Amino acid sequence: MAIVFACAASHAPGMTAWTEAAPKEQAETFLGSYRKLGERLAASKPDAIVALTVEHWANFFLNGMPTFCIGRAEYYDGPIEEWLRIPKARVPGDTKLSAELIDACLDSGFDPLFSDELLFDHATFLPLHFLNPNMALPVVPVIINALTPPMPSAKRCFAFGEFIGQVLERSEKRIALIATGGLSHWPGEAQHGRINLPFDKKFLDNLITGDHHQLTAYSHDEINTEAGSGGHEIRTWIALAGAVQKWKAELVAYEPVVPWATGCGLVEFSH
Amino acid sequence: MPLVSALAASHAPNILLEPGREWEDFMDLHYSMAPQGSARRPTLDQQKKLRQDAESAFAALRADLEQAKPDVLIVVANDQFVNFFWNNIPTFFVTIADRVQGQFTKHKFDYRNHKELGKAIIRAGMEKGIDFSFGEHIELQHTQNVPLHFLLPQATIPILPIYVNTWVDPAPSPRRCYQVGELIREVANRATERVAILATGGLSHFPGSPRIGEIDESFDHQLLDVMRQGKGRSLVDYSVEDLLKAGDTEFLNWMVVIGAVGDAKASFTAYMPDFVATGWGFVSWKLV
Amino acid sequence: MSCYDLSRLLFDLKMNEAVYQRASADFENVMTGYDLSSEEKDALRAGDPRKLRQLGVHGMLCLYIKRLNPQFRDNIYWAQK
Repeated sequence: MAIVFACAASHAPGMTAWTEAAPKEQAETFLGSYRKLGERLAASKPDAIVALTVEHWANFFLNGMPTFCIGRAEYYDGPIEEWLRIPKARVPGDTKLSAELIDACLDSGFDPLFSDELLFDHATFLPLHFLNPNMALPVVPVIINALTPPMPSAKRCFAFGEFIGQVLERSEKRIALIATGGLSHWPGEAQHGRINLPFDKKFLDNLITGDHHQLTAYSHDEINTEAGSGGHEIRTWIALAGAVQKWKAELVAYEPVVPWATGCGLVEFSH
Repeated sequence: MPLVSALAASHAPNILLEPGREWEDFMDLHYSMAPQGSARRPTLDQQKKLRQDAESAFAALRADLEQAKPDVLIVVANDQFVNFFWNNIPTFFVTIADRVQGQFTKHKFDYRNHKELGKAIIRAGMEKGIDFSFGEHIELQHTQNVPLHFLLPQATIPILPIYVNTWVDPAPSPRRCYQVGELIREVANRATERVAILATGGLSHFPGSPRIGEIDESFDHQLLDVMRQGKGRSLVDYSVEDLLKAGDTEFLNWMVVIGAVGDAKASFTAYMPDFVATGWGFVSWKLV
Repeated sequence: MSCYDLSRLLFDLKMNEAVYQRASADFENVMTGYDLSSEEKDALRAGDPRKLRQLGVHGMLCLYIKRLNPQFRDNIYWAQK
């Protein structure tokens, strides 16, 4: 089959951990849209979810950082954060699909690290909570290093996404491809709470108009300065744009939610 | 500077173990997987002779290395469940630690790590499309320590450990390893330092397998012949399965160095099957 | 991989001194800390690397079970990595 659904979504932990801190209407609008996105994902009847995602020291430490990591575990437990207010669950993996992706990468000029044991933190678990609420669909995590430099360039992320997209299009399975992270936010930094509205708007605009030239031109320093340490996660969105290049992107929601300290976006792709 | 020296050498632990009890221990353990493997178990005299031959080969490599006056030695090796387990199997990994240390029986190893060169290689990979994993701490193991004991006994220059996954399925292709070597050569060309590179491992051996004790000598000789002719590029068409069949997956480490030397002919080769498990191979490319 | 926990235990026997010490004193108790099938436990109790290999464990990890065998406890192999 092929990719049957694609979306990109932010994963600010405040969405579930301190939902009520946000203005009620803003929270309801955004999270309502998130749930509806989940309904459309379900309606596409996927066999598995491939998550272009990041992680926050849940699995990798400075002694062993991947540039790209493909999970190959039979299951993934999460969330690691007790305070996320999402019930703990064991999410099934799809080891066959994982192995297909890893083999294809190694045959074609990509060099992922692979892992048979990964925990999910909010980066993957929070989007799944909205998009895969029963935690029933098997998930294959594809982690991009957006945590500590050196991080892969926007161009390389786009190329990686493009390749992953090609492999998934050849898959026998119906795949929902999701990207998680961003947009601008400064976790653990002096500027925590800042949201760079112009940056977010421009990035979303580039994504929606399908401006691949602009999307691949973002530099590490530009992202770091304009979108913060958390903004590096837009690499997953850029990879997704590479995966579904011919699809049309549509803005589902964007809310700069100050109490969640994040420019929160939802984008759905369709073809 | 261009690369000034390239070397390849086996890292079989028994090269550095003492003939006698230490060798016997090593063989006892390995043959517990396949008792029939011990048919050619070497005598004490044979053990001593092998050690002597290995020391001669290493002396030739060391002379070439020292003559090249390197500022840094890149060490391309594989992990064997010391730093990496199945929760974290990097395909290619560059060390960006300040220091790297390890121990092998009574021998201690402690080197500065050339992390600037490491970072330059990672960055070059990102430009060129090679996705290195990286880390700030590793423990040196026999895959580095055995050759380093003979080639760089005093920590006079920093090293740079690079890991290739030769150990856990799926491994990268010989072609990809060759490309990594080409990238390292390009980085070395741009570096101000005189860069030397060493690959470790192989040749034919079947550790932890019922085939322990088998050594595919003709395959090994073929590889060495290709290196003497400077035709390493022709090896990129081997598959991982071809190497696996010959017990030579650690040759993937060598493929990185073969990519780094390109069409240069090996100036020295030595080979000795140890009758325990491994075809010991030693190669030097004089590049300056 | 299908025998992740089994492999993890063998890895820990060589790489984690505390696990090795506890396993030397009470292996049954250490085994309860890993998600092992009864077949895997039996292979571990048998202490035979060949049986572990049949269960899909990487050959080099199979050898690590020998660390619990009194005959191999002082083997030089454990003094190097």
